[in-house]
Amino acid sequence: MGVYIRGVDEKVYREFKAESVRRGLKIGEAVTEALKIWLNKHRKEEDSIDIARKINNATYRMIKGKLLRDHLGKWIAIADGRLMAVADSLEQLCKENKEIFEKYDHVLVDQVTPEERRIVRWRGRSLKIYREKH
Amino acid sequence: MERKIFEDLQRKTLKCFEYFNKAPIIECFLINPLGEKQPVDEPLIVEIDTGYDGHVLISEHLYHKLKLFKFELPEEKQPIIETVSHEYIRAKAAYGFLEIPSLNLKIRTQIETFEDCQEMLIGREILSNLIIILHGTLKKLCIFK
Repeated sequence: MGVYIRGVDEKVYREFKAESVRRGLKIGEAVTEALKIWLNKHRKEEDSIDIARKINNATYRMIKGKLLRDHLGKWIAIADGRLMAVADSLEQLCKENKEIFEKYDHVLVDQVTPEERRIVRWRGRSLKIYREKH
Repeated sequence: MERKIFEDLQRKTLKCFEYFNKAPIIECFLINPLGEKQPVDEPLIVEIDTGYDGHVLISEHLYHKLKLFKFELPEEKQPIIETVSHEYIRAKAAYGFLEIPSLNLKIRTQIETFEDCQEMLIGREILSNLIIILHGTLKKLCIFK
């Protein structure tokens, strides 16, 4: 399959082409390999985020009662399956615990309230009118 | 007459945005709670959708670019989106900020997305923080004091 891709950085492409020639690969073969590596990298990242998300949510469900008792109205951060920080505001939580947000793949952030999930209605954009041009 | 009314209103206006593709829009940036902004240079053009009763809905790609999975609400508090055809979509939601630089305004909000979402829109939760007039004949959205 042939593709034409716009917006490729010229310098990067030149280096990429030189490297693929050096390795005895056709440009198509090298690009295919690069695309596969890129896809795998991002899938692995997403997998690790998903795993961390599940662990953090399980922790949240486990300690929810205690959070409501001890930290009502406060902002919390759960990462690596542990309650990592408690603060008075979102700004304070992020400012004073920057390393948590930089280190972990997924952080669960919440203001502790008894609030439950809500249904959000979306009644607009799905009704788009398409007109044919004459 | 209509123009005069608009000129009167304009004196009280903070900012007007021309419609884009016949739709009312706001030019804004999205910022994660660590202050990382997207896009970096030019603001996003985001449609206003009074039919969406959430906050800000963005594409899944932008959600990842902003690393919003690092500021995510518990699953129990994440919304379920009900579409016009009564489909239910489980959304992801995170805390972030919407900045309208031309108004020097930064609103703390929830930013929502769902799997394969490519939409970007501002919903009623954000609109409830603003005084807005949609001037249909001039094709302008104006934000007031």
